[in-house]
Amino acid sequence: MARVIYALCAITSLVCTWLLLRGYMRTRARLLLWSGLCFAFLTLNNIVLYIDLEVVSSVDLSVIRAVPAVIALALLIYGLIWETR
Amino acid sequence: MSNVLAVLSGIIIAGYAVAGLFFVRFWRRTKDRLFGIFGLAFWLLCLQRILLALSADAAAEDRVYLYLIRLLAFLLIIAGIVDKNRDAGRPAA
Amino acid sequence: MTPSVLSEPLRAFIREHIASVEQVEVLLLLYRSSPREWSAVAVGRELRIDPVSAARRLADFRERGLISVRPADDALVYWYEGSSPSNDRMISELDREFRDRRTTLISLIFSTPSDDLRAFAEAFRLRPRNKD
Repeated sequence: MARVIYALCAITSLVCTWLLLRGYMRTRARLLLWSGLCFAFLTLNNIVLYIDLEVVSSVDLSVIRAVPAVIALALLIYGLIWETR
Repeated sequence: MSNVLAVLSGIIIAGYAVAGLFFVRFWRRTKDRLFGIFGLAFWLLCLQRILLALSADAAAEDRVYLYLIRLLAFLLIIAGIVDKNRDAGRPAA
Repeated sequence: MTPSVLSEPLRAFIREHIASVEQVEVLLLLYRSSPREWSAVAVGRELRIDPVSAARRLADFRERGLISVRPADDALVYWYEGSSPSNDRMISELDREFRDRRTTLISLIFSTPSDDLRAFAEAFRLRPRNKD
């Protein structure tokens, strides 16, 4: 059950990543680049989350997990502030 | 909870909150449901992150419930994408 | 005295498809001269705009299903043909308002969200929009 949740989260953010980066290729709208990268790092965050909770039980990966999320949001907020009118 | 994790959590919480705020602003401007959905989703992720940090000392099994909130956020995003594609041909809602 | 408010369907059409006055000029150029064919360079010359910009506008309208395209010689040519009754109605209304209430129309266009947000929302369409 938990695995399904984590997998679904990872897949959704991967889909968003793909759609946004594809959109960036088409339109060159930089907001899409930053938000696409944001979701890429959120996907990474979701994957590490999965590994942390389902695969590796001995080590707590909380801090390692948090780093991609911080990067993701930093990129997104940078894009939201600078790349929109 | 380690200091490092606490700081990172705080940044993530604030990040989700601000991003959500931007999306809500875009929703008001464009009247496009997709932005409202993203705003809501990001605020749910923010909430989940807050609860996660507050319950840091609780057993891992109990915190699975928090990931349901995360799931809800991502389901909302999926719903938003589906909604966007069903709207094809009509002016943005 | 007629109120200076544009019809709701036209506002929706503009919110959906139009982000700049240049776009309106390109669209109306093709509409008014229909079914005459235009290349990006010809449009650029006629409207005195950068042909690269014109090309982007034309490609964008094509993707929205508002104009048609075919390859010709070494460039693409575009023309307007009735794509759908509702679009025809909207563009004809746009044409009228551009002539009669240009200021109102232009302020509406400028109050519409930027290309960035439009692009963000459009990115989530799995397939590019088809002609009606």
